[in-house]
Amino acid sequence: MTRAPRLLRWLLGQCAPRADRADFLDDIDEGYARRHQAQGRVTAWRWLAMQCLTSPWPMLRLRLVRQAGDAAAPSRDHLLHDLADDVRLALRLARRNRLTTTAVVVTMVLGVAVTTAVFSVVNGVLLRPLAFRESDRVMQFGATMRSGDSTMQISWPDFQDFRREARAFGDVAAASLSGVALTHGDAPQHVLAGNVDAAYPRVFSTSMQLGRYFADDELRAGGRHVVILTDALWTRAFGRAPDVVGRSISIGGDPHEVVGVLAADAYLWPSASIELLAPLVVLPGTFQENRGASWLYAAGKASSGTSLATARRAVTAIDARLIQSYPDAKAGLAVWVAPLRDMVVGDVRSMLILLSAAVAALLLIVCVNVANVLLVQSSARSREFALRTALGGSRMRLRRQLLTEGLLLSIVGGAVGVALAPTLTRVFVALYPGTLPRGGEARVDVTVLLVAFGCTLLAGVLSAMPTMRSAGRAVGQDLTSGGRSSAGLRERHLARGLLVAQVALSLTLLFSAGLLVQTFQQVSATAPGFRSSGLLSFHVSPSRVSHPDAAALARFYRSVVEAVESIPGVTHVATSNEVPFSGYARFDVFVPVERGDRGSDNPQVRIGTVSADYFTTLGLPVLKGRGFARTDADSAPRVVVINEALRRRYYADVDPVGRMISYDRGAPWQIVGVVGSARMRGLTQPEEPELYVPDAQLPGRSRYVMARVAMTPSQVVPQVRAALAQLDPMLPMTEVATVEERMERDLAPQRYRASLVGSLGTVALLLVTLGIYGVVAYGVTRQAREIGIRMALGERRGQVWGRVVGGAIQVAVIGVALGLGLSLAMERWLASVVVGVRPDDPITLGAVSFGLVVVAAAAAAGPARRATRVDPATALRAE
Amino acid sequence: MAKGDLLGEFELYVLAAVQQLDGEAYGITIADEIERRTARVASLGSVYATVERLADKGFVAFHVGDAQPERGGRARKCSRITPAGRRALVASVRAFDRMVDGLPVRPAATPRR
Repeated sequence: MTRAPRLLRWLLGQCAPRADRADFLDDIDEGYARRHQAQGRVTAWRWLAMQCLTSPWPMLRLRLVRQAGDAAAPSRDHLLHDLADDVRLALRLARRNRLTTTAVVVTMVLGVAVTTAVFSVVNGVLLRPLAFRESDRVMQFGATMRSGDSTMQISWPDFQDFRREARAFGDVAAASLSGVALTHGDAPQHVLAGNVDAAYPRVFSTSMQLGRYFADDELRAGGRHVVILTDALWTRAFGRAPDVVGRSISIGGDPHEVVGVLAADAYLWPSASIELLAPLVVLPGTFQENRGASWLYAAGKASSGTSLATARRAVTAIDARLIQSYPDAKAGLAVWVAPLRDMVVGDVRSMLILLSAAVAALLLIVCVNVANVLLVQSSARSREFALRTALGGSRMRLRRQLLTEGLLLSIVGGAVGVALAPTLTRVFVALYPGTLPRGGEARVDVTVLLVAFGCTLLAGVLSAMPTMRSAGRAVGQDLTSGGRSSAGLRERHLARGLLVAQVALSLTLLFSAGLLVQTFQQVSATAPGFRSSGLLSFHVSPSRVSHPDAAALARFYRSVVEAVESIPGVTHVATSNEVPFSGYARFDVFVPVERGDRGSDNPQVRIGTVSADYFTTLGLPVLKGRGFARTDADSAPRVVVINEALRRRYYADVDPVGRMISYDRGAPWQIVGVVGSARMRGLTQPEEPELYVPDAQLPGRSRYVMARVAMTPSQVVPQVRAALAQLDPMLPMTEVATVEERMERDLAPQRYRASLVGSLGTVALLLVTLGIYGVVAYGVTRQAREIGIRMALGERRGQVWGRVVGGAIQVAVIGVALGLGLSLAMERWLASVVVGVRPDDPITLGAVSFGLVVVAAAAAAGPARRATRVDPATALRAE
Repeated sequence: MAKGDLLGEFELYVLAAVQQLDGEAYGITIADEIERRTARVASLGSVYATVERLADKGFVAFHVGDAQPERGGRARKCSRITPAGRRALVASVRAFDRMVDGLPVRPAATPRR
């Protein structure tokens, strides 16, 4: 006869009361066989699956009812009753051993709270889908540059080609970011605007809470000036006034009509901090139309049923064709797509994975530590176990008792840990330098609670397991030997094994921390190429109304420079379109006249529009020729300065000074000098080729002002503010920060990683120390008699000490060996988070290994000293 | 009539099946009978629990069935409806009938008196 599949059958059998089990399984077999015969395998399976879903619960209830009914009769299955007994006993025990209980619970709280908090951040940031409909189908375009770095921007012609040719995408949206001065009420303010196209609401499933989205004619060049407010800006600047639609507001001095307000939950792209939407208008005949200029964010929504792989292939295929057609403009610029979520999360990903691994290791260490404490405690109870076994208690029952004890402690610890987790989560997010992308979405939700619950149970089981294993075995002899001599040996072996694991995990954790600290040091020691100390920077964007044309702007910037220069303590002042580590950069095509203009296929270069004193103010050395002078004014011959990185790339063998270039398709410009390169994007970023143009010959709508100050830069801020207010009371002075502060902000992620993993490593080290101390101290107490005998037989105190400490060192060395293997196995993965350090750095590995062995020896030294004080006579008499 | 005498829906099905099967009623035959007549898959576990409950109430009694050769000769614990069970079944069905009497749920609403 056909029988039901064995595993399901067995599972069902487990639910049935013992008395009915055989009948029940026969019934299952019969039902399965009959269906199998009459209706085929599928129906039989379906029926069986149905039974597996519906039968266990009533059967289990029947089983419990039976047991309750039979309570008077002796039974092996008093599950509930036993559980109550176990819990009672565990509670009594926990009360009696207050110190152990406290230690275990505190350790558990630590483990569960940190794990839960980190997981809730990981969950919110990495795992949960973005908060808009069908977000999993949205992919963002990006490009890999020649330097190997990635950019999230592509060029306008590329975007058009992808939109036209990539059938994998239903809609492709493009956007750019711009900072604008919004004048509303009394104080002008600087807000980030997203310039978006018609596809934006379709790709991001955006809806409006007031008004409408941009009409087609408003999205064309020369259309009406219109904007859409985000919920945040509507609240902040307009107090949620319902009549805001139709109002005219001043942006950069121009009146713009508000046509709508985005829904409160609208997904903001390309940056979460945009507060305003404006139409994306590509001006014909500007750099924007150049294929070499990557300035546009693009995101596509894949047609339903299109996989990421298909979309990727489609984009790569189109890009390959484009690279063939435009080899120069697209030299080393390969376009790809990635899920939007991955792009939003970006750099944090590796950090969060690292953190999760570190926390998992810490949780394991916590479990091992608790396991050790319980093990040591249980070996003191070996007589109790022996007695219970001798009186007929089953081993199963004993193990269940121990499991209950472990679980009880872990559940108490876990509950407190989970209670602390939301606070800790907020701390993690708040500690993150700048804004953690999606950080606001990190919270303790059902998934997190489930994981925390899982961790707690796992911790309870894991920590009770060694005790259960050892308590189940050969309990008999303890009764006669009184738990004195060799009985503790097994537990001690097990405890040592656990210590080895602990040391190995801590080594890996400490090694990672060591690498991260070194990375931080390396990065902060990187020379940026300019003098970062004593530099104050801020941003101004004069309105179109008071400064309508280039000449007015140039005059205004000059007056700002002069006004700031006259402040005591300020030595140099410069204006430019960029400031170190601001993230803002302008790119344009660069055409050495010798090469000739290749139309839309020209290489691109970073453009700095700077005032005469820029190089002096920033401290960039002039390597060849000259820097700019105040005489390089509008009417003077057009001149540029290039940096060393640009010289290396295009003028490696020739002297660039005196050569002509063109970059804006106008009359050529002459190179008059070469200055040192600077890391403008960040200390971990490479020096970019850059072309400097005199500000006076190309003034722009907004400028950074940098001032070199002889004292602490922040001291002059009030005077600067006053000076600016005198020049233009309506001008917002934004992004006020010293360049050192900007540098700190740039370094902050490295510091965050290093300090977080470092503190986890410290906690791990502390736990290891406690673990070793506990096990050794307990071993010494248990071995007092042996030590006494040995000393009576002539062993010297030094030998006793050496043996105890040697034992600990031995454990540490084995653990270190394992940990070294583990760390080296992680090498490839660590490589992605370290900079300037080898991911298998032998010095760090050596130092951490040695440190752990020393810590182990130190932790054992105290108990070892106690061992040498054992008085042989007392120890022997005590028997 | 005491309230405890009325059967629950599934109890009613099980008790009716036991009577229908006439001495051949045990777990799977009951479940299959219910499935055959109501076109709904009955949970074996629920059948077991319900039969147990009905036995506690005195509505069914157990007896050892004939040994079945194809099942390895094992005899089954079969249930049979008791007089009390029969009374409870009748009372429950009547109560149910009265409840739906006149409702458009039963086109042929002829109460069986």
